[in-house]
Amino acid sequence: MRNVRIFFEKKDIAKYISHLDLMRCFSRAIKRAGISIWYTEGFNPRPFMTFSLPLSLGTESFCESVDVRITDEMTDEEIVKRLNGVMPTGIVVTSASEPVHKADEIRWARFIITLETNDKQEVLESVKNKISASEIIVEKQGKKGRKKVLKQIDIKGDISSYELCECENGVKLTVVLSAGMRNNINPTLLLDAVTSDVKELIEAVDIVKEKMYLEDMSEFC
Amino acid sequence: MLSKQLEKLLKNVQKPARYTGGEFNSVVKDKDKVEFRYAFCFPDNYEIGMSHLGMKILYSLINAREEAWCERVFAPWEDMEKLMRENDIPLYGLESGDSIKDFDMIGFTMQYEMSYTNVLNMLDLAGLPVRSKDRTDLTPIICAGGPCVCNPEPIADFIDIFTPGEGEEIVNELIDLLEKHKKLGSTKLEFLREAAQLEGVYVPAFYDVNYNDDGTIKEVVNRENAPKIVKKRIISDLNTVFYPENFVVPFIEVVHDRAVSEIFRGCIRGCRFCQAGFIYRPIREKTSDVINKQAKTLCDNTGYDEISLCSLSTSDYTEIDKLIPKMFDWALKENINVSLPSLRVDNFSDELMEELKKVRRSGLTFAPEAGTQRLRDAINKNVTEGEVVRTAEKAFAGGWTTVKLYFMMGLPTETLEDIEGIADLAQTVVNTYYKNPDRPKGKSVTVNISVASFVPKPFTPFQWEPQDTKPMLEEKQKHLLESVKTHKIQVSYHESQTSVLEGVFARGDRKLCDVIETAWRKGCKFDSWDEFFRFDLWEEAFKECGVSMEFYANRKREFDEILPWDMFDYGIRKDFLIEENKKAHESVTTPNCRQKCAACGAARLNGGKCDAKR
Repeated sequence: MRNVRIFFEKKDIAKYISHLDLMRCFSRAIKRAGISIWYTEGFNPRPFMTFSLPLSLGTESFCESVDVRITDEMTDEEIVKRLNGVMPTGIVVTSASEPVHKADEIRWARFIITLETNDKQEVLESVKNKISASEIIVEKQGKKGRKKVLKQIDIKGDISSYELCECENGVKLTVVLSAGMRNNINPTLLLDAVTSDVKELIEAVDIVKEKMYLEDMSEFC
Repeated sequence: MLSKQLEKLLKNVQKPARYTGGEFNSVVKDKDKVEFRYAFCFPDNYEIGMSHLGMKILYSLINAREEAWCERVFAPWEDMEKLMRENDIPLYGLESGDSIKDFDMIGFTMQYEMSYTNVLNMLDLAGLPVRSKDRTDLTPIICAGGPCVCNPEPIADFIDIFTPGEGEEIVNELIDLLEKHKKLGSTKLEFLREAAQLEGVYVPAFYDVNYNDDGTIKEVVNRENAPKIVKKRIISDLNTVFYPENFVVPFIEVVHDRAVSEIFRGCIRGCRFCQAGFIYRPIREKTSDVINKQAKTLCDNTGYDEISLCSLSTSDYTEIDKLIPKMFDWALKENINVSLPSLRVDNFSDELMEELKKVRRSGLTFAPEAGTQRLRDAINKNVTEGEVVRTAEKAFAGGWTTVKLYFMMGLPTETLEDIEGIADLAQTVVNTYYKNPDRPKGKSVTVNISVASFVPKPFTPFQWEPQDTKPMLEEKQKHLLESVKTHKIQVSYHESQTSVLEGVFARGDRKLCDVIETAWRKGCKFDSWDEFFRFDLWEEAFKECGVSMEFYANRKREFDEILPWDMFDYGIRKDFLIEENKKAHESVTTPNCRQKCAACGAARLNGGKCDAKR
């Protein structure tokens, strides 16, 4: 038995698969692929799978991963090949290898966000002003004891770096945001704050998660 | 592939994966290389529709044709419908994203009466007129099949072709015929005329219904050479009939999210309230080898970790003792759970009980249907209190602590004494638990009783019976709650207003077409969902159309009245149903088909073959 980390892309319509559904989707794909994995040994045995970080519904990703324990002899190449033969539209397995880092070492994630608009200049200026301000206040669902409350927090410190430019159909924002089990910033939270003045000008938003990094900005693998 | 416009909408709806397609095993063909486009519509939401076995069979069957492409269509949920209407996006096939208005054939499956308004809503969302006569082009032809089609009259004005009976053969014959007429450049009328000559095809436009002054049917006149009596289609041999090797595996969790293996059709029991028990006759079984092979193939191709055996009264399957060990042999190794619905544990061997304990146990259900022996005899539910107790004993000894009992309320000849009987029987089951010395320490027992309102249905011995009115049912419900003396018994029952309407449609005639259209235009849809059901709007619609619900639901019919579904031959003889009705009123039972053939007549449709005969 050995641990294997499977990296995959979640694109196109697959971005509409929720995290919970994704787990079911993988356990079935692994079965279809004829790959034997370890099952938990409780009263209701379940296939043992650990996903690095949940991805929001509607966000595409090039860097998702799931850890499983393979119980038979099979090369990493064979695992990738077999899985790609049985995946639904939009999920592409890119690699399989022994895990190097622990999932809780993930600290940052890089997103490419496209704001579709006809008023590129105006949107770009507005977003630039907001994102370069000394603080970026957002409302986040928090807990006060047992009660759910809306908290105002500053996420300026959660932005490691960003880049803004015009692109073919609008404005492109590339941003490295806090990610991980302790402090995960959803890019839509940032977007709500930095596009608040130009909401009507933006026709559609496209978010792609591109890479995940550790504290020292080396890539999670 | 989804259009950019659609993509934008999906970000604003619940469960967008309902509307994307792209699931594993969904069939995508090159639209330039296919000649025939078929939209298989399920008039309810994705989660319900994707659980339906008939759709999976016909989807694979049609897609096995090289020149035809069958796509799935479900009723969009309220949020999606609103956005589709606002943005002029017509109803589309999940596989291609193309508007189904341009398809050649649109087939609806009618599984329950309360989905009728959704049929109209889906036609309208597709941009098609809801009435057959207003759709003048050759295509799309709108077909409907499924159990409700055994009385199609309440939706006769909306549908071009009904296919009573089993669909596996007739769907191909209809596609062949429409392909021919497309090439010939025929009119819709020319196609329908020839279609009406196929066995198992009912073209409602070719039948004129005349009424008596009291609202009952005077006569039905067939035109255009259409047959006076339409015979339902049945599949002769289930071992060789097409069965899918693949199911579309949904992304989101659907109601029945598992592989399904059909093991037989028909039922030997002859419970007098049960429509399925009569309309799917004669009984035809698959061999255990065929089932086992089909089940294994399905699991391999879908990756499902659960397979369920599908039939009426599953434990009546003659090879069940052979089948279970065969399936467990591979399923357990692959962590696949085998689930057996409609269990009657009373006729299970001890070995089988032991086998069953190996897999995850779900709840145990048992359906006495009525509270007293007298009433159980009247409805021909041949179960005694002793059997219920023995089953419960076995179940409790096997470690179960929750038992679910199904009952019906409003059955013909029922009195308040029978209602008390429900509570008494549940109490007996509770007592049985405490008589078991090996019961788990400190664990209590729960007996859930679920009570449905009885709705008389066509092609059953009770098709002439009046349905209980709402006040009668409410009184009985109240009486039941008062008769239950312990918290160990939990009672749940079905909304009685829905049952009233279900009863109206089940035995309705063509006068209901106007009512259904009126109600739909008032906003009725998803009527089987409590959050959408608007009885007030339905009452308005009936009033405006001058149609009475009581006439259909609560009126006792005479045996010689012409019934709206009399143009159909479902195999079962009317004389047999009359005899059964009379026996019900005398509380006389009829033995099941394996004990003694009751000569119901169904085998006639299969050249005299019936697997119940020994």
